[in-house]
Amino acid sequence: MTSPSKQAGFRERVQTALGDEVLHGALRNATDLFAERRRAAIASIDDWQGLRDHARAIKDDVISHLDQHLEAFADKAEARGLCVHWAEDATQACTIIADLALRSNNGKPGATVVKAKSMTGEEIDLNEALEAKGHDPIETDLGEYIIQLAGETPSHIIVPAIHKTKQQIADLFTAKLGIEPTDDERKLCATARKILRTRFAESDLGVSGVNFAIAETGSILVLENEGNIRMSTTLPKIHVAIMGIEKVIPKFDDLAVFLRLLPRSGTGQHLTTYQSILTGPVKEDREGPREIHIVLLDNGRSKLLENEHSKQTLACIRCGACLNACPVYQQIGGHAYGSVYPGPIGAILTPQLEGLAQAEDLPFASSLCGACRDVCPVKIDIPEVILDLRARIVEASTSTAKATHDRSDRTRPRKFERLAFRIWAMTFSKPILANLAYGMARLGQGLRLHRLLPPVRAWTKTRELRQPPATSFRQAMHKRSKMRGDS
Amino acid sequence: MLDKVEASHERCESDDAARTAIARLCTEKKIRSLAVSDAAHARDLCRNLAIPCHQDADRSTLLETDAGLCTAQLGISETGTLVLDHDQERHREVSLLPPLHIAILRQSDIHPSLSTVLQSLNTRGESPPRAVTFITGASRTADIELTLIIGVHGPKAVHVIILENSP
Repeated sequence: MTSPSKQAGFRERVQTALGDEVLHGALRNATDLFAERRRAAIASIDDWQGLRDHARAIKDDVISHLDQHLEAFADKAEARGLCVHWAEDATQACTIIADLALRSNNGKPGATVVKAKSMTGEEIDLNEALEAKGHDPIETDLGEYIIQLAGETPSHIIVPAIHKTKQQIADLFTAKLGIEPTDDERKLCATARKILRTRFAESDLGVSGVNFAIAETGSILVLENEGNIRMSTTLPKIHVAIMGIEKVIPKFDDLAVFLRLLPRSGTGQHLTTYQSILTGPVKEDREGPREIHIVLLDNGRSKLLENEHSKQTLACIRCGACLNACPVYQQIGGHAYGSVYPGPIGAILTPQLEGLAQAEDLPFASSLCGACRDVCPVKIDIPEVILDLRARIVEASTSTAKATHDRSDRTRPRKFERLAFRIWAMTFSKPILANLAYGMARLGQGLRLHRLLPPVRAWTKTRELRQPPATSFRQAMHKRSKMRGDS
Repeated sequence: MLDKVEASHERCESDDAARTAIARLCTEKKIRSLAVSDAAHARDLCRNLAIPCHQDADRSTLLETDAGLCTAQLGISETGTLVLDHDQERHREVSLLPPLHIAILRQSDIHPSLSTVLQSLNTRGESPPRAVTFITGASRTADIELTLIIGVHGPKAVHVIILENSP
């Protein structure tokens, strides 16, 4: 889980990312490609905006009645034989799953646990917890397998290893798996397929996420392209699905809306290769795990329900479209965010799940351009939530400062900000002062003063100021009206 | 739509044509052994094959077989999708483990859109089947530098035989 010290390194991580040319190339390619594919894919829908509205309406209903929908889901699911577990936090969730691992291996540690990609699984540090109990978790999504071998964390929701070049991956496979050096990505993929097939065949426990849980029928849906989710949910003796509580949707038919939105938004596909819809464990003569469990994870989500502006964060269907649209993400990549969820959704979700103080830099890592809001399939107004979080962070640090008489560095920028805004307001409400200010600004910029003087210097270090024109707008208008003979 | 998702397909007007097509496919793709699901129709269509045709294959056999044959209960033409209802037929592993998946789909079972398929899956007394898989093309990834690679953990190829005769 991200700790305060991890978040505190945000600026350092950003600087590192900004200096990484290879990362930029990779991010540029990925985000451009996905954005282009998304545009092509949504052209195939007659009323894309109407579809988004419909999805948002469904999600709003879910958010407003989350407890009811969850209870309905749990009842129906249990009636179909699904074992439902409620986990308040990461620790509880990990304990439940570790116990299942033990059960799957006849009460002994050393269970082979095949894991399909799950952001929620990352969120609770599941691999660490399983390893601590002596089990063997293996990531089976190719991108996740790559980063597991590398000992890293994912940098993108859809393509976790996007920050790695083919050469880096090839070198990794040679070093860790002992294969012949190669630059053929198909050989790398074939290696992973071969190794993982053995692990699938001997697996005891399969772990997956959940894309949608349907309250009406007690079903869960997981979607993918590689087939590792099918493998992980068909071959092991026990399957456990881990799900954030906000993933429930009311009706089976609602899938038609979300299955049209999610693949198009995430990868530009009309549908991903596989969707598995599971409604309880299968009968004895059928293929599949004897037991299916689901862990309904809160881990801070229910706190979000309390805030009118930011509870829309819970509508997210984890498509990754906002990452691909975000100019900040394109520059710094996923690791700089220092949290499981990067990009615009990470900037609003992480502070709300972990606490504003833990992730206070993230809502400020935004230019408020709104590109994310435009592409979000469920119309989350991310800039609105960002502004709300910024206000709450500033308020919190102000009141903490007041309460603790904190004169540290954390509070000084706020005092400067308030002073600066007061002076700005005073100056620009009087035309004479405003004109004076403009004149001084032109002079100052000519002298490059903005690069030298704190606190302006801190602001201009990472921003380019536009050149002021030779003639100001006011002067030009004044000249024009004189020429025309206006009074 | 099947072409766009790298699933090959052909239309057959009769069961005999389908049998010929399956035999031809096995020769073309150098299939040494085939596993077939428990669907009577699928078994009937491979009864004259020259190569070994495993019925009720266990998992280790399936992991070694070159091709798996089953029927698809429904299809979606809008997306080129096969819908496998695993309550109706035992085809979860035969459609997943062998590198080539051959699916028999009746023209009359093809729906135009996802919406009607979802409705039809949820109208039966017991509501949805316990396990349903939607298959659109062969398994794939773009995890290595975004290069598309076909054939990851699921089948590397899917071939759909669309039967135009009625049952």
